[in-house]
Amino acid sequence: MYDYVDGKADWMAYGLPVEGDDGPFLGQQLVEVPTCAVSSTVADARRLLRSSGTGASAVVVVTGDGLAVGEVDLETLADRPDDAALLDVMDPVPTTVRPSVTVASLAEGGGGERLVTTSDGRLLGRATVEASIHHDDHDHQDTREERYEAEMTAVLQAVEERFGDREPTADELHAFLRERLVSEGRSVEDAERFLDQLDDAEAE
Amino acid sequence: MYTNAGRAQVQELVDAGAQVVEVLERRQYRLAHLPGAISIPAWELTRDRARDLDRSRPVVVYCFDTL
Repeated sequence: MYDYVDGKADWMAYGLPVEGDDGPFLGQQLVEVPTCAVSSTVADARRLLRSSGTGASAVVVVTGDGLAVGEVDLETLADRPDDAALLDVMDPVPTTVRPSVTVASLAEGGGGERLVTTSDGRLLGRATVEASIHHDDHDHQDTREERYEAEMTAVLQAVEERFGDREPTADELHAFLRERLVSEGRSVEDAERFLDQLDDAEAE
Repeated sequence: MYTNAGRAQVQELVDAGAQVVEVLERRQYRLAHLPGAISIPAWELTRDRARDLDRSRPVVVYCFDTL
């Protein structure tokens, strides 16, 4: 008997395939990103962007292991001398998301472009998601309320399925809700922040 | 008796025909699970349920994460 201690979160964050109703995931709609080695210069990056034919406006700087360590856009490249090292001009530690984030959650968060990396920082590509569109404020409000009610119903059902007739302790409920939020694409920190806000709201 | 396994070992076990069991609630399973995994929520994992598993093949159980 083996215990996969890092669990489903690790599997999905590494971009490995899953089965089920959720998704699509960012990992399923990636486009290739032009990359340069850490030893590259500004001239190398400009040449790459010109020849890539993808219309990309930035290169990602990667180590030999494929770890994304920075990003440089065309605007930055335009101002720098040809022989400048990319390491010196790049935006270090680019914002990335895991391939297990759903397209819907990014769309509801405003959409946009994101670099997608595995949990250990290996670059997989770039995902672009359009923001969710709401026709007017009234519809928007209705949709939010409907979604909130549906989510609360689903949460109550899940709590009942998990704990049965037993009243869960506050710690059990917190851990359960945290796990649920993370599985829906929130980061652990974001999930904790959300639960703290719920606790604060309840205290008031 | 459990042996802890990392991602790479789990992939090898799955490729070799191991049985994979997700022990989270069924809603979580329905949303996404490892390929070929079956659902037995932890609170239902009794000796009787364990008898449904093929004892001749390795079994990998997993939860959501390490916490």
